[in-house]
Amino acid sequence: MAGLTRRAFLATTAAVAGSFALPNDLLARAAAAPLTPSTAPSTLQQTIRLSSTANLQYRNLVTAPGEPYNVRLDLLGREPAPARAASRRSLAYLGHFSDIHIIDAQSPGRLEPLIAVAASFIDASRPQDTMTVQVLAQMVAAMNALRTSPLTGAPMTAALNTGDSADSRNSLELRWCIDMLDGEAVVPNSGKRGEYQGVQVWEEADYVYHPDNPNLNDFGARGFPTLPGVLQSAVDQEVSSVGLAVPWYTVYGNHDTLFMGNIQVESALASWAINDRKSSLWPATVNLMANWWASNSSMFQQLVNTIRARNEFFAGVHTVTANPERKIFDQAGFMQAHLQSPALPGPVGHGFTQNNVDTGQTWWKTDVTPWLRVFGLDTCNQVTGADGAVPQDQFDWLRSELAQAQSEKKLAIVCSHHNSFTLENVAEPAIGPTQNLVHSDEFVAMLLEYPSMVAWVNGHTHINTITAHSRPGGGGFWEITTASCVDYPQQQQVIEIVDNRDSTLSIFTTVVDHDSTAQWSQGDYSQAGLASLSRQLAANAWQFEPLPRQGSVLDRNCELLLPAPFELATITDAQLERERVIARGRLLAGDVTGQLP
Amino acid sequence: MTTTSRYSRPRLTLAGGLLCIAALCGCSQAKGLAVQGNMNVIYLETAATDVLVAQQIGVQSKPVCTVNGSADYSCTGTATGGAPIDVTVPETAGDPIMVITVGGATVFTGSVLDVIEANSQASP
Repeated sequence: MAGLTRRAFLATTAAVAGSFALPNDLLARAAAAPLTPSTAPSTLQQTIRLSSTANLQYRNLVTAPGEPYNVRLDLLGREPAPARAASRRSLAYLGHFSDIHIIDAQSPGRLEPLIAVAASFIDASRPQDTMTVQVLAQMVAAMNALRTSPLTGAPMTAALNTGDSADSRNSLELRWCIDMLDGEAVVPNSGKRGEYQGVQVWEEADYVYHPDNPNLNDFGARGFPTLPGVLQSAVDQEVSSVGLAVPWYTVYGNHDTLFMGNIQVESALASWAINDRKSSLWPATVNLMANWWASNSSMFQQLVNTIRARNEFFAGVHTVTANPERKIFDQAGFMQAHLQSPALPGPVGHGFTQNNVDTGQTWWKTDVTPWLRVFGLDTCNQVTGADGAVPQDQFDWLRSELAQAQSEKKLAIVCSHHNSFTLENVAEPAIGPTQNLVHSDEFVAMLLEYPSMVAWVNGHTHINTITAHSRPGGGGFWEITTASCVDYPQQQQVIEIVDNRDSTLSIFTTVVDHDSTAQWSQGDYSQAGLASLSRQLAANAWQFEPLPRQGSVLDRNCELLLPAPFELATITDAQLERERVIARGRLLAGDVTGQLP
Repeated sequence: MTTTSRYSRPRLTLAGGLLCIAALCGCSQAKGLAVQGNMNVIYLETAATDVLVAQQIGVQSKPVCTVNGSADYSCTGTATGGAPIDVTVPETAGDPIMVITVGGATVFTGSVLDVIEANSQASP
């Protein structure tokens, strides 16, 4: 197939240069250059593993050899043609973020004492809670370094974020996440400058890691390090981010929907997050809950006053700096926050539009190239529970849209927060409007009806997992679940779809570590140093089962084969070249304006 | 009733916690309880797959695991050439033991956790 004619190439570069305010000759030279696979760091060259010391307690991380792509044939069912490597052409190269979990560890709305109540709230506190913004900044840097493909050299087209951007529905957490992805600097301190106000310095909170004195509890015995001043450094230093170089799109996660990812929030309780009282112990938490609840109930107020009279002092209630910006966002607020973003890297709204806010439609579609349509779903339960389901209206919408994409010969990717393991939440409101919830088996069966639906991209379980869903009679789609930025191994992915020009299609997944050293240097409280420290702490946070979360070797760097869903030659080389000029122009604009490193 | 599912396993601790918190917060009551996917299924798939790859057994279809009830785990896959891969976990208490067979021949018997531990480390 022929690419653009000379005349068409010049016309395209001129138009693209104009739209990005670039010198025409600069873009023309860049666009005419042959594609060269990126040599930027990824797990193809180097991985990070635990040091294999005899001490099975606190362990450092070290570098290990890179992992080549493993070929997976689950859906092809036969050996692929060896010649495909020489003939392949890139159709799309995407970044994938998931489960970023930005945490405002000083917020009164983060209820760390819940750890003592139920296993499902174990993530109410992690040793690395204060360093999530630094991790995201360094992950954005790593993703930007890979803005051209390590496989084909194709420029990145877009990035997808599959939810749990904020951890506790705190508006500041969401803002910090958006700002890091957009390239804005933040100071991740919602309290008083020069001070960390939270459970990790309150000695009575014996269930958390105390970096200033880990020997206060079991963390010291397990070898967690003494890190004086690290909490203050983490919340007080400005965190800068280069921002993504490509448009990015997002969907809801359960932590963006339910309080701490599990429970609905009443308005009285919501005010708690912005106030000046924070609890470190479970009885104190109950007391604070009762106080706010009492403000709405005169009878209950009497009960609270009676209890107060008998217990003047509840240990574990601390005065912290109030901050109205910590307010708990609602469903519309999540979309509105994304609409408050700059034009670049864009798009404004990151998948959502004002129409979504006006109608309450929390799902979207977009064509990231003329031949690739991406669908963003909201699989989060509005009532209770960490896991999800697909409401009937979205299910019907997606079925109709996939049929349309199939008829238009467009490849399709579905994005959601929940994966096939966790799409089984049955919770419905007991009173009020409801609709049927579609669960995993039915949802997968529907996706399999449409061969152009080649990949379901998601997160939620914080573990790299790649699952083949086969169609009776051959083919199917790949489900790609990416780990998280918060739990070990703190990895995300880049995904590339290639046409092998032999009636097969391959999806390459490449796992990405954030841009920080494997081995943390004692005393390094720089931005990258804190990100490195965060990964090390996460690797040792035994309560979170860190070791299996990297997934198996067939869940990481892989070539995922499947039969081409239609004659891929309908996507012409000229179309590919035109889109590549646009993508290169976008990346170049970022370089020229200094947005990129 | 015993159910076989890859996707779901009610977690009593989770359900109990949710009920407790829902009552405290005055949350809306829910019909049905949320359940959480069984991470042990994923961990077992991970360990079994890594064993197969380490033994250079070609994998045509990666093992897919299910749990029958709360502790009866099993996985099936296909090796290159079509031989069936079967994984059972006869001992789930404490340190779970998995047995992997390919075409009926046992290729591995050992601790799931030991496999996960070994694969998380840098090679000596």
